[in-house]
Amino acid sequence: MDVDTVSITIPDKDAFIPLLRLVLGGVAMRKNVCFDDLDDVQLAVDDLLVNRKPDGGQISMTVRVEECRLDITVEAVVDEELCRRLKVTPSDAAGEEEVAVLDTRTVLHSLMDGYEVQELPAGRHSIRMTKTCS
Amino acid sequence: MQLRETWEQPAGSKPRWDPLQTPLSDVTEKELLRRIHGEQDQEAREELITRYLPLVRGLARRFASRGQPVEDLIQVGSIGLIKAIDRFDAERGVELSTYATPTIMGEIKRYFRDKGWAVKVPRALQDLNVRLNKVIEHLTTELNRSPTIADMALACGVTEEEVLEALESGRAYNSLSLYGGGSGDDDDSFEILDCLGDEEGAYEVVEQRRFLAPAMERLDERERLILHLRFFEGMTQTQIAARVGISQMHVSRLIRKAIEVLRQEMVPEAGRSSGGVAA
Repeated sequence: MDVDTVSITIPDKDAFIPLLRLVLGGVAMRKNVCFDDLDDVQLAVDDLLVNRKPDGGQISMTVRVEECRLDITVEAVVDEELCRRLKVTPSDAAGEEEVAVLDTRTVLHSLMDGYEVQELPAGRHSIRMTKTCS
Repeated sequence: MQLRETWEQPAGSKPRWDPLQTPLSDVTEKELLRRIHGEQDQEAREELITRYLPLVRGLARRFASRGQPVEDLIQVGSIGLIKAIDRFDAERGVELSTYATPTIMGEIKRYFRDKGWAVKVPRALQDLNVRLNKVIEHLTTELNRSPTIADMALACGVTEEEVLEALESGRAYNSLSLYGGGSGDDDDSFEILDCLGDEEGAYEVVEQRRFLAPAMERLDERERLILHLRFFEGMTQTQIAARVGISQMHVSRLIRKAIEVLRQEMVPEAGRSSGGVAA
C-alpha cells in the first residue's frame, strides 16, 4: 500500500501555526482532497492547538496519507484538562451533561472520523486524528 | 438685546443652547466650519460630524465585501471624517464633501493595509481570495461536490500553490474579524447584504438544542444555526452553504469566527480553551 508521509516541526509560537495549515493544504492539493475536507482538517488542527500551553518548545505534525485517508498526528504541550476530556467521547458524556457542549472535543469529533490522545514525556501529548476524505 | 444678555455665560464658557440662536441643525455648513475653526466650537463640530456620517457609512459599505465588519469600517471612516473637518480650509474653494471623501477612504484603506491582514498579503492574492469565494460556489454547483484545489486552480487559471496561498491569506485576513458581521443591524452588516437569507426554519431547532451559555449570545441566529448544523447535525460546509444560501467559503469563515468568538468569551473561565460552551 502506497503511504506518503509528510512531517514538519515548528516553534511553539502563534506566528508559525499557519505553516501547519499550508502543509495540510499542500498534502490535500497533491491528494485531490476537496476544500470541504481540507477546511475541516485545518480547523481541527487549529482548534486543537488553541489549547496548547506554549513552553518555548516545538510543535510537530506528521501527516500520513493512504489513498483517501488522512492520518494526522500533532505533538505539543496541550492543556491537560482538554486531553482528559478528549478521552471521553461526546456521546458518552451526553448523559452527564445538561446541554450539548461545543468544545474542542466536539469539534474534533464532528470534523474528524476519529482521534486518540497519548501522553508523552515532559507534559507533551500526541493527538492522532484520522479522516477519510470524500 | 437685554434678554440676550441674560443668556450670556461667564467668560470662558459657552452657552450650550441659546433659544435666540438658530438651532445648530439649521446652521449652514459654512457657518459651522467658521465656528469650528474660528471659535473651536465643539458642538458645531459634532453637528458637522453627524451630518457627514451618512457619507462615512456609504463609503464604508463599499468595502463591505472585504471581510471586515462594516461597523468597524464606519468607526475608522469617522476618524477620517474628523481629520477632514479639522484640516479643512474653506478658503481653498472646494466643498467639504469633496475634501472629506478621499480622507475617509484613505483612512479605511489604511485600516485594511495596517490591520486587516495579519500577514501582509500581496494584492494579487487578496484578489484571488475574493475570486475563489465565487469560484468555489460556482464549482460546487457545477460539479455537485466540493471542489479540489486543482479544480479551483483550473477555474481561476492559476497554479494550485497560488490557490493555497490565497486560501491561507484569507485565513490571515479573517482571523482578526471576531465580533463583526451578521450580528449588526441589517443596514450595517455586509454579511446580511451578502446573503439576504430567508427566514430559516431550523432556527427553532437550534433553540431546542438550548444554546444557553452567555457566550452564545455573542453569535447571531445564523451563526448559531451554522454551528448547530456543522457540529451537531453533521452537515458539510457545502450542504450548509446550500441550506443557508451563502457561499461555502463564507460558511467556513463564519464557523471559524463563531468558534473564535466563543473562545474569547470563555477565556476568563477556561484559559484559551474553547471548551465548555454550551451549544
